[in-house]
Amino acid sequence: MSRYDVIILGGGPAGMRAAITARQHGLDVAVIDEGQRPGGQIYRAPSRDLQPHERAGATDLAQGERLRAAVAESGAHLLTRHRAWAAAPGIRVDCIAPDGPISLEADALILATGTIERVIPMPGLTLPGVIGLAAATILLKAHAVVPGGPTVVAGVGPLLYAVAAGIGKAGGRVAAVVDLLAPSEWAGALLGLISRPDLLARGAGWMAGLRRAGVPIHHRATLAAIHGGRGVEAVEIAPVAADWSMIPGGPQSRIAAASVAVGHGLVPATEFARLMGVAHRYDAARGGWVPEVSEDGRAGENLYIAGDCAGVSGAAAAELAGSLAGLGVARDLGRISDDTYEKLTARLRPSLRRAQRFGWTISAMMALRPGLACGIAPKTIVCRCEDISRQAIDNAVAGGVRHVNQLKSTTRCGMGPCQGRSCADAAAEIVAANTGLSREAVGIWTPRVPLRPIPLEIALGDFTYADIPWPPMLPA
Amino acid sequence: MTQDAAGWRADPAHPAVPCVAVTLDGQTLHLPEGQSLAVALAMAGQLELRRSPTAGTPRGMFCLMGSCQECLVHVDGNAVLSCLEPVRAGMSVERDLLHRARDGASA
Repeated sequence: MSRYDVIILGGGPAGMRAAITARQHGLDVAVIDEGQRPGGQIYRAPSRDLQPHERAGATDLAQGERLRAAVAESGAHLLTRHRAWAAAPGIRVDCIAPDGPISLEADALILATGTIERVIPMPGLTLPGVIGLAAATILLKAHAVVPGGPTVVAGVGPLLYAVAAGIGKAGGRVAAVVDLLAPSEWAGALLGLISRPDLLARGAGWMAGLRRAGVPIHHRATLAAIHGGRGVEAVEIAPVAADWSMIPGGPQSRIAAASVAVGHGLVPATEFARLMGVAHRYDAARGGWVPEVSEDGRAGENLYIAGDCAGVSGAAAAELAGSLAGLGVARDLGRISDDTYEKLTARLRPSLRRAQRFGWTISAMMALRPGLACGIAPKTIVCRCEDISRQAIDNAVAGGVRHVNQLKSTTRCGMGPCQGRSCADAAAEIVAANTGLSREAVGIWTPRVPLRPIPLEIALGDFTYADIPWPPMLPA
Repeated sequence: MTQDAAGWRADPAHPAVPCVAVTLDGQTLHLPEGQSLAVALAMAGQLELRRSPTAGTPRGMFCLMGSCQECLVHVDGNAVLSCLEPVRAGMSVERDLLHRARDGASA
């Protein structure tokens, strides 16, 4: 078994910066990531040689390359194409590596697992040709591929405009942008965004490009349905109220489409933190369930949580949080004194707060509102893995279900191969709405290993029938 | 797809990638080497990667980051997430389209 001073789970901006910082203080570091190369989602390494010129995502591409170069130079062990499926205090992390299963041990663990995308279902969401908004950014930035056109881009947040503009620049056709927010809500957020004029300018550029291209933008609207047999053929656009519920009898429009990119915000990926026993609270403005951590990301003894998985705050804040976590581990493991720790972290905290102010403004805009999941139609599939409909969830609640774990065991909702990552928010919102309970009260699925599907022989481990400890026979 | 629809395709601003031969359910396809298999299959017009195990509705790549598990295919006999799997010359890709398949649209 390989042993390190610290294991960092996730090679995005937080994980890479944590690794660089920990290496600067002499720690032996392993970074575990599922990707071919470090980068995470925002700094996703291109799958082939791309020209980093004036194209969609060029700025992110350049920053990603800078960080990748720095982490490669740092001497950290970069365990890419490693899929972690379990973690335990102690610290032990189990992975599937390209050559098979491995277990790693360390004195400390930094979780930098980022986010997953929330997509609240509508009829037709499971059709081939429908992808997440975050998936669309990966498609454009890492693969330099445009979805089949025309594409409808729908949901909430800056990714809407990044994706729509990116498709246009790369030669695709956007049929419409469908934004849950009103223009006044974007304007209202400007004060919180003013600290990053560079990013504001980028956003303004996207909007101007879309306007020039004549792309219709529907504000305060949602996808009522995606139509098609084997693939996407058309979408139905409907107006929503301020709580994102569809306005009954509101004017719906049907437009032809060959693909859809849809996303309703980013959710901290907390399964490893919950598996490690960290307490969580529900904070819609930070993406949903977030772990209880100190300002420096400390979640427990030799355990740190950094970046968006501790509450969605963006890439700039994630890098700073990664640095803080790296310093925290260096202090906990006795590599730097408390004084040095205070001196080094005091420089970082003001920058972190500034970056968080921007990131939190964005994540608050994307905070899930109750009307969206309430409006899911009875026949709509909520749990993609197990084909569980809204009606089945309603029935379970009518039968007495009050917690998402009860829902999981009575309906199999959230029990499939994705481990409930895709449907967690929609299912919990429906249980909360039907019972009148809060999201805190209806809870979150208890994480169960393996957190990623693994071959059965790996879960069973390396032993024979004779190794099974049977209790001694009772005396006759 | 609508009649005038354009397929999933590479951004022309970037250099083209050489294609290699792979088989999809026994049929030979030429896909860009090193490209994500799921994305390469989409570019070849193959968006449907599997059927849902219970209702048998068509499914394809969705999250592109290894979370949703919708793009699962078999490559050389091993179950892999095609969004994270690079295209290699000679790989044999098999989809699970017959398993309890029904003619169900998901809507």
